[in-house]
Amino acid sequence: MGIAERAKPETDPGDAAPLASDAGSRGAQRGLLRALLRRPASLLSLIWLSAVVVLALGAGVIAPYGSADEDLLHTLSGPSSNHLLGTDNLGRDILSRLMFGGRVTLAGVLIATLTALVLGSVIGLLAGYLRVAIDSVLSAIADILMSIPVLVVLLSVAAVTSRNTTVLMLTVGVLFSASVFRIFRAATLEVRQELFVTAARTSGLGDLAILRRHILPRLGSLLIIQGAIVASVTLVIQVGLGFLSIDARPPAPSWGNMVATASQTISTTIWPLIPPAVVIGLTVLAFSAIGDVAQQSRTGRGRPVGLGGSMRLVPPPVADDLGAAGEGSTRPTDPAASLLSIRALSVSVPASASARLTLVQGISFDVGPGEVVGLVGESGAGKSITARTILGIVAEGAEVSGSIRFKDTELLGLPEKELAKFRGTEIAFVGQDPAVSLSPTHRIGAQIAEIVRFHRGVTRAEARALALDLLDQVRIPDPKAAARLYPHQISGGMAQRVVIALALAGDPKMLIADEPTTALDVSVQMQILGLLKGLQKERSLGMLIVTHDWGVVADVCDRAVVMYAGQVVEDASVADIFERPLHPYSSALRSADPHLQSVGERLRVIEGQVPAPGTWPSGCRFAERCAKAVEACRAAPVELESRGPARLVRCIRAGELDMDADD
Amino acid sequence: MQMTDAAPLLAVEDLSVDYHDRRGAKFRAVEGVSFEIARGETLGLVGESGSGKSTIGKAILGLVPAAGGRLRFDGEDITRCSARRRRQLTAEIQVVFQDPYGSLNPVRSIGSTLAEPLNVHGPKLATGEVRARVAEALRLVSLSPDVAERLPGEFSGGQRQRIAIARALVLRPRLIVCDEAVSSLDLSVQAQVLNLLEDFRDQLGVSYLFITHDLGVVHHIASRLAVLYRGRLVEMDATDRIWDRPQHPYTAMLQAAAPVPDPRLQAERRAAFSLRHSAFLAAQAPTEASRV
Amino acid sequence: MIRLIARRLLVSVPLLGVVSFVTFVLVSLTPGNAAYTVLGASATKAQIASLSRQMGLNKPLVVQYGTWLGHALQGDLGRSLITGQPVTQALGQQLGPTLSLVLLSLLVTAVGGVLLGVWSAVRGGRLARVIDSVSFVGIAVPSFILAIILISLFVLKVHAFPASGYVPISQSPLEWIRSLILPVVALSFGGVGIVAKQTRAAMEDVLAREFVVVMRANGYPRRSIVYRHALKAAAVRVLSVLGVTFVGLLTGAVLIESIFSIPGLGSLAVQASAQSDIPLVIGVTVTFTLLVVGANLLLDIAYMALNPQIIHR
Repeated sequence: MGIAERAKPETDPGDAAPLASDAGSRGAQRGLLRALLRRPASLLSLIWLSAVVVLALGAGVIAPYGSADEDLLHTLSGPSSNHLLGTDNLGRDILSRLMFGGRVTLAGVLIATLTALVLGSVIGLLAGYLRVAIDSVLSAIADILMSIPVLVVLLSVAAVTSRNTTVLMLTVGVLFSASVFRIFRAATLEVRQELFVTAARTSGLGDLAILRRHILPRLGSLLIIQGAIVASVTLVIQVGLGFLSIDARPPAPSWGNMVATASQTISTTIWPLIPPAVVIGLTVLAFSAIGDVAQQSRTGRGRPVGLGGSMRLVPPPVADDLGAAGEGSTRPTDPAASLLSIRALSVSVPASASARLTLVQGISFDVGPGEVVGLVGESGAGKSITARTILGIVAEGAEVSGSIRFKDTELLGLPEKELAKFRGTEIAFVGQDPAVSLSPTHRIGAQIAEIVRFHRGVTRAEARALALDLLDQVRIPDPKAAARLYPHQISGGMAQRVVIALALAGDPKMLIADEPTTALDVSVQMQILGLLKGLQKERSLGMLIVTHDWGVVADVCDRAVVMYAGQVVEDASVADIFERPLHPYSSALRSADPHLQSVGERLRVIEGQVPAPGTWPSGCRFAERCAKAVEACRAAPVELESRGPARLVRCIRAGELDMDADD
Repeated sequence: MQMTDAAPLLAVEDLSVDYHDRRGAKFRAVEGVSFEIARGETLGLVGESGSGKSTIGKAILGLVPAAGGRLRFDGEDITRCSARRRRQLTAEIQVVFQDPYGSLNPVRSIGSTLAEPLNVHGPKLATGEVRARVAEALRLVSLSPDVAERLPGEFSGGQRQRIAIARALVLRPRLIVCDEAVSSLDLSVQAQVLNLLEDFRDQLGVSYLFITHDLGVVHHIASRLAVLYRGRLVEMDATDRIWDRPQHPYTAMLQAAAPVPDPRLQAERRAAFSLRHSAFLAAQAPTEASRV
Repeated sequence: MIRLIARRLLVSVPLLGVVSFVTFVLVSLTPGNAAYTVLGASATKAQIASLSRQMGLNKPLVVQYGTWLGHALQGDLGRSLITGQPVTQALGQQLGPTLSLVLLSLLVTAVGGVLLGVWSAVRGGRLARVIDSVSFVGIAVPSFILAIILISLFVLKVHAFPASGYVPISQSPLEWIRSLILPVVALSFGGVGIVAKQTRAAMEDVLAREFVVVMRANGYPRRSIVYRHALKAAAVRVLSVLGVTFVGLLTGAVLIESIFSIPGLGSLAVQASAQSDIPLVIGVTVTFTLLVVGANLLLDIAYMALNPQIIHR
């Protein structure tokens, strides 16, 4: 996912960042303009288009020759000092004809594009926002228009209007207004369903105010994107008409009929074709490049994380080497005996072209065979990133240092192919939101059978039987019926059971569960936790559960690793950490859980909030919010130190404090 | 109905709400629900997904039409009031939604979002006055007034939810519908927001309809609870009484379902949950017992 | 499922009606009428008037359309004004070459575009940039310009292919392919670029979804995640692009057939339009629309096969 993790899966920070960058209500348009001027592709395109327009408009003054001036001594000549771009079969100057011809072509494109944009956007907006009764009629008309083969219709229009270019291009505009209509209708519908539009309504805004303040600003950039796309397509059509000699009447030039003229003499020379082809190509490209850049600045696009996998293993920076070497001896569990052993793990991602953002820094902990470890902390602590890095699933461009050992194998630095052999068969994964964790287009049974077959190399029939068995193991009432369902047909709780079933398909030794119950109803959460605990005992799985809920830790975990701002701050058995938390943060975090607090009293809270990655202080990262902080806490980085058997704490005052004393 | 001080701020009488699926088939989401909220009171409306709890909130806000029954606000029947009256009512009835990421327009500054309700209601305010009211609302939720210049994208979930509360408060409404207003936040942040809501009830006399699935959280803020299951009220009583002795098997199961951050207590609670869950299933019709 | 198909067919009826009627109206507005076209510029006014009466051109437009529609429903689209050949017969002769050209091009566009789009979404890096450039060029060079360039390179310089003409598949499958290679390349090149670009965008959206992470984390082979699961989830968007592309291919076919002298519907349309051969113009337009209707129907069936959410509710 994105840079910071969140308790709820639907809040992907990746969405928020680009939207924030195109700033302000009117700023959205300004941001788009800035993007267009800043990116070389769109800047060059704008320059090219301006040049083409200026040359076409000024052809009468600038062009070296008239559009029909024939120089019969120099027909079909290449570039020369007299004719910079050569001449055609009648010795007419190609450069001059390109400039004059641009008028016909560009005027046609302008007419068609404006028609399509005005018709499409206005009607689309009305259909999408007002949901008028005629919406379905309008959509049907749009469907019809989009099904019409443009050029064939244009041929009949041409036959009818004796080649009236204005009417032809108006027709093109009307036909293309259908696709603009669809885009605007869909976009309006989408914005209209945004929660903030509902919020504006509950603030008392009327339809017009909502349209003006919330919907139109979001659609402005769409006008530019669609304009660019329609222009690039209609340009090709306009040139095509010219090629069939149904735009300008010869000898008046258009880009299209210049191509046609050139095509008659290609057996002699291909040259006369080159200048118009290049000009047409560049102009089409310019339009579509502007559309692309506008699109990107609207949606903000990065490479998907899903298949990412190009993680880079880097040596740990010296400054960050937080006693990684020395820690080995003080670990709660013997690394040799542990299933998973993480040492000095740091993860950073590119934040901009030049800067990197460290999300996780110097994390160390172990998970023993059959042990359940809770990775606890608030949003932005780096829990999910740690969990996913174990499986080698990181954002594109992530740099990772440290060590992740599973049994006897160092996982960090393994090539993707090797790492993939561990997934599912040694370490499996259950995600946050079961509703989006399953492949939407395949039946549940088939999804599980597929992975069973892949991991265990059995026949199809055996895989199907094993899949039903797995569904039974996760207590799905009627496995046979369930196997035939698609993911959208089942409840969240059932979907999470299915995810657990497919995680167990490869008979793994360890399970990583990233907030497995956060998205579920409380009663379902209880059942899923019970199921996980039961399966864990049955199969003596090692388990790592990422959670922000101490109740979940109390329910299923043997040990808790508390994270704060990218670091481990405490690592202790569940008995110890609930009995006597040693880090002020562990104590405060648990005290702030409303579930334990007594009714009638003011709820205890931790004031302030977790510092975001990139703003971590050099001293203790919790000092800002800590009631027990002293000057020394902020002076220097605090080490994770051993405090008693199987306990690690990152606090210089851990020895002297009684955490529950004045809470 | 005459208006007296004893009249509840909001009275929901026998409310039913229908939804229609794409094929036009009718589906009853809320069936015959009645409750009242007094001035300065917080009523907790508890239920899981599909219980119809958010639908009731939407009906009160006028976002979905009632199929039957009546809604009275301060004695006035608002069940089918005009669109104009509905807009006026937004000054009295406000809402905080669950999702702090979706409820703020990402390309509008915080100040502009907060000023929005001020600009459409009541007498036209001078720019300076609007700014002052916005700053005051931000201060109420412990945010600095210069936050107004910034965009929602720069804030964490907890901060955004404060901003959403500030928007709800800026018109000084008498009722705020909190639709899972803290559910998407870290538990530690939920406590902050709950305290904030409690302060406003004490200082400003606001009433709340606090819609949630988490019985463990709502009993801190609500004096009375109404428990919903599949569109119907199954239990309604003072919070203490429900918490101490839940009557309906569903309520009993819900109560045991919120995990406590204490291994010993949690072990007891899990044992209780298993018993109550089976009891609840047994109380259901046999056909429903198979699907949970 | 059958209901959805039936609905699509029902929508197609007005589509055909609208297209034929609009064309009919447009054509009737032509300065000079069909009688003029038949008799030529040298005809006298009296001759034209008498032929007009004979052809029913003096009746109200709706009546004329009604007559045409009545005949059309019985499979009679009238006769060409120029050659006197029945329109249906002319269309039948020219349909084969157009279908060969367009369907082959659709195949190339779909397979090429989808593969390039998927590779570019999955691999990223340099390959993605190469594919981007290819699709950029594809978008920038209109098919008919590409066609001329191809002719000048492969026909006039290298003599690798016949310059023009079309060989029916029944005559010689090998020559059929040879006669179609250049036209298909020219026609599908731009479409490949567009489909690749849209496929890539759709795939990137799907690959960013959580289920891909869960599948990958649980050891599903990459190939299966990409082709079996992600591509299927992205398929609806890809298909709708293919639908639009198909309409575009029909348009392009008109130009390509003219350039390569392929005796298809496109050439027929150009010729009929130039000669104001009205029954033929209407016939060609209706045939093209029928092709689109058929394609949309196939598309809908494919949607339903690929997206379980449409039927399994």
